[in-house]
Amino acid sequence: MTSPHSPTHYFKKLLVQYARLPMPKKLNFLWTFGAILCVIIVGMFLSGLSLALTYTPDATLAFSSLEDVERNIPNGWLIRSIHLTGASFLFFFLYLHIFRGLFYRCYYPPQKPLWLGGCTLFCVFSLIAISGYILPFNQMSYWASSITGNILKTVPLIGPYLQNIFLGGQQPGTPTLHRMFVLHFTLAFLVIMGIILHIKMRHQTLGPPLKSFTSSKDGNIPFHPFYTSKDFLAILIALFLFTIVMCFFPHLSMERGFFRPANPLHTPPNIMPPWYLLVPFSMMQAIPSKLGGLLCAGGSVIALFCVPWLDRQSQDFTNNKQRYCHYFCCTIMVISAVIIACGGYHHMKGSWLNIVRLAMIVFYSYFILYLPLSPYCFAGDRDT
Amino acid sequence: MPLLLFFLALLLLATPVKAQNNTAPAHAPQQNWSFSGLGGYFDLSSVQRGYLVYKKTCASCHTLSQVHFSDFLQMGLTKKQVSELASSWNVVDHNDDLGHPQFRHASSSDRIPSPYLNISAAKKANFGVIPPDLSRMTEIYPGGADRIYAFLLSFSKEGGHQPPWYNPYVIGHLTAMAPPFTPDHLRNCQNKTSFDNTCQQAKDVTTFIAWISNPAHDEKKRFGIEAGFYLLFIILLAAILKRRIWSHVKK
Repeated sequence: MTSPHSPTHYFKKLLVQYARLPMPKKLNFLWTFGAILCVIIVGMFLSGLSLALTYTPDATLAFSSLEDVERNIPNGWLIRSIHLTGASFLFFFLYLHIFRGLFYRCYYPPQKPLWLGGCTLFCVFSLIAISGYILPFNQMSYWASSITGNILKTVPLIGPYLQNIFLGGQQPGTPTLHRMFVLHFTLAFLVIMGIILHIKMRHQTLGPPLKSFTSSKDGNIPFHPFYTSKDFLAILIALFLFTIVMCFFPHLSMERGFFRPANPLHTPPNIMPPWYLLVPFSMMQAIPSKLGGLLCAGGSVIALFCVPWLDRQSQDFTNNKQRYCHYFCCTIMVISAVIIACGGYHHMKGSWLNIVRLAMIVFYSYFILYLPLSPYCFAGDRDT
Repeated sequence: MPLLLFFLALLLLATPVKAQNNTAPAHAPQQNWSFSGLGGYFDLSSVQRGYLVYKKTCASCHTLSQVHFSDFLQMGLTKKQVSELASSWNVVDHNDDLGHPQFRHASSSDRIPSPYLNISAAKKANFGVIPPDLSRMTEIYPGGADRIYAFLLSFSKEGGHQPPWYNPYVIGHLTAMAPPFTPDHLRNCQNKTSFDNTCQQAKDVTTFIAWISNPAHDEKKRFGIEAGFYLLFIILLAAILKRRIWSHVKK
């Protein structure tokens, strides 16, 4: 018998509470990305810890220490591939997770702190991604850190100071690697804490657990076994895709510059951030002014934070017309974000510059025009 | 309005982007490699022959800086064979009191030694250009193994016997690398009748370079196939489980 105050008892209680959590019946597969993300993050955390045992944060040794992981350490290639491919998958599902939030408007009052916490987690993930991209110190890392330093320099007043803090000198080198390694490592632990909080908040905002969890009352069903079985299936499908990409299409998440050691004397013809940071990168390229580009790119993240205040529509749509209009505009916004990313991928060559500018107008008009103003368009329909 | 803008953007997307350069490298014809395709694996006998060509021809100029001799164990050699192979190379042991390097036979834990003592020596010996490192050759250069194979066999006498040599598979069509095989004329290895010993050597050494560039290539594919089928089976079971559980929920 365990005493009611022992940790085992507490966890048992917690587990039962989570298993009995009342859930709505009609949640589709868009709601499984949270579970998939949890699995990917655990995988990233464990593979990252294993890599940290071998990685050397030194400008002359960083590249070959990771080459050694692949060539000399038993199953080292697997650990590194999991971490590399995992980064892409993490952001892929993170974007889908955010899209789900925007699509079903999961930012209304009981869930407002949850949304803001999620946006903060997204920012932390981006920081982890940037610092992790710099760590291998290959050509892409070197030039990415150099460009990030230049971007920070454009911040008014404190720009050069920020650049110096980021690089630890005039150009990327051992000091940069040291601070990026510390940042990458500590933020990983922080983000795990953040995710535990995120999940806890998610379960608290649902309201008190139902006393009876039969499917007849209120149309709700308990989390277990219904959503555990659904999440389990989704996680397995995601793992299958992950395995296929990792083993047969590794170049989807790797570029040629990954295999060249950093060389300050040779600028590669196409410097590019990882695909998941292409949207802000592309926005910075599309705006002629440096500071304007920075504001525009930062604005896309700030817009996400402000969505709960920007969206003036009532929580439940009064009619189907309004609902489908929302779904349509949300999809258009996502398509415009994809177009912006494509423009960055093609370095704004040819007509891409104008296309991206157009897509940026569409993207921002969703946040600035559609969300606050749409209730007025449907004002007449509300009474019908 | 957003719909209109979206279609406008799609229209603009359809306009072709033209960027053609006369000195762009030629497109290498596709070869039938043992390691290409989803189920492909390296022909280790070809890799072993390729190592011999590498040692005889490439190693006098090119480095293989990320590779240890022990990595050759995966080529199908025994430990004893690898240490014998390693002892045929000399590595710098230490510098003597005058600063001159002293050499010793390599052991299997050594890295493949560079043919030059430092970068400036490498530059001086090769008309001011450092020969690229071969550790990740097929991963770094677009075109991969096909392009390297075509490059090795496409030197022509257009530029005479002086560098830079003409080769259609490099940017600018001129390279500082000397023709690797003698006689150095343009070869046709496409049809079986003219496929001679040199063609075979080029094929083997390219296989070797591709093998070095893709550590754990075969394991990765084997893992992918095994884990993939395993996951597919579990997905099937999980799907059945999910259907059975959800059949209790009234729509």
